[in-house]
Parts: sequence; C-alpha cells; structure tokens
Amino acid sequence: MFRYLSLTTLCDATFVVFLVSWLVTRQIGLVFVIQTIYRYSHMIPKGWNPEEGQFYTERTIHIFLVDLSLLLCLTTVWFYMACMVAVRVLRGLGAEDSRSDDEDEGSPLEDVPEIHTSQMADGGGKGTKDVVSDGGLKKRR
Amino acid sequence: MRIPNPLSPETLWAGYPHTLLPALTKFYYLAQLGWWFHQLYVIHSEKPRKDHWQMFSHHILSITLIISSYYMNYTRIGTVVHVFMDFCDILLPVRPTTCVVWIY
Repeated sequence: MFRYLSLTTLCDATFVVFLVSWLVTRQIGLVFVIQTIYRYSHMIPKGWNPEEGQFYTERTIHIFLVDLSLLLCLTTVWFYMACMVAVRVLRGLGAEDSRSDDEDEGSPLEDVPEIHTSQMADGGGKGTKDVVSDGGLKKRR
Repeated sequence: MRIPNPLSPETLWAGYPHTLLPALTKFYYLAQLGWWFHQLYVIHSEKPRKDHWQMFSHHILSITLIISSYYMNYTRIGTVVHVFMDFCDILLPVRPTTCVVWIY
C-alpha cells in the first residue's frame, strides 16, 4: 500500500521496525522464556497426577525445553534470512543511487535482453505478463 | 505459595495446576491451535517455497507444543510464548503490501 504511494522511507521504516520487534520478541523473548522455565519451574510441586491436572516431572520440563530450543533455532534461521534480505536491499539501494544518475542509458538496456530471453522461454502471453510485472518491480527498486 | 511481585516470572508458576482458564485465554489458545493446523494445510496447497521444510517442522513443533502445554496445564507460560511469537505478525499485514519487492 505504502509502496504504491512511493513512500519508500516508510517502507524502509516498517521493515526496520519489523526486524527490531522480531529481535526483541522472537529471539530475546524466547530465550527469556526458556530461561524462566529452566530457573523457576522447580517451584511447582512435583508429581504426576493427571486426575488433578498435575503433570510435573523433570522429563516433562526437559522435553518442553528441548522443543522451545528447537523453535528458537528455527526462528534464528528465519531471522538470519530476513537480515540477509535487509543487507541485500541496502546494497541494492546503494547500487541504484549510483545508477540513477544516468538512468536512461544504463540500466533499462541491461534489463531488456534478459526480459526477452525469459519471454522466449515461456513462449506465450503469460510470459509477457510476468515480464511487465518484473520490469515494473525492477524499476521501482 | 507467596507471590512476591505480580510481574515476576514466578507468577507464571505459582499455584500450578491451572485447570481453570479465563475464557479469552482458552479462545486464544485454541485459535492458535486451529491456525497452525490451517497453516499446515496452506503450505501444502500453495506453490512450495524455499523454506518449505522449515515451515513444516515449525508448524509441527508449534502444534506439539500447544497440545502438550494445553493438556498439561502449562498455559500461562504458553500464552507468553504465543504473545512473543505473534507480536511481529502484527506488522505482517503491512509488510507484504508495502515491501513485497524485497522478499521476492
């Protein structure tokens, strides 16, 4: 929505806020939760009494800790991927800034042959549509 | 068991078998469970993405954690996990429309 209004700064800001909130909640927050379980779960009266809804054994807690650690690993991988996207964007924006001075000569000509080959490969109207949207995206960037 | 401070982590554990849940907590928990089952269907009905297996294992892990913590009455700490994991998702409806170029 913001992108179509050409508010790229707002777009940048949203992404940064997203990354920061991810770092605080999914990375640090989850570590906090795991640490809390590790340190405080011994407050629970020990015992395995399903009739009373009590399910506390060492093993239960360990299984939960392992599961949450796996979850943490998964979110860490995703966070890394999101950071790589951010890095790529930063580099891409830098490249575009230097490129946009001679905008009309350089970049569109570079893009055109690539578009044609993909169109040939697809060999149809569908390809053309893809090309149009692709070109649009590239120019926006 | 005395609770020194309502914001301390001990509040999550005090009086443990929390067999009675507030209605909203129960709704939130079960809605989460339904959401992850739905997502399990969604990732198999769409075109597979690069992180398909990562997503798949994440959904299975989430479902396992939700069911086990719900069954074993660990819903307080579970709700904290839900809130932490969901907070970013508030920004997701904004992000794909604005920044779709960056992700794909």
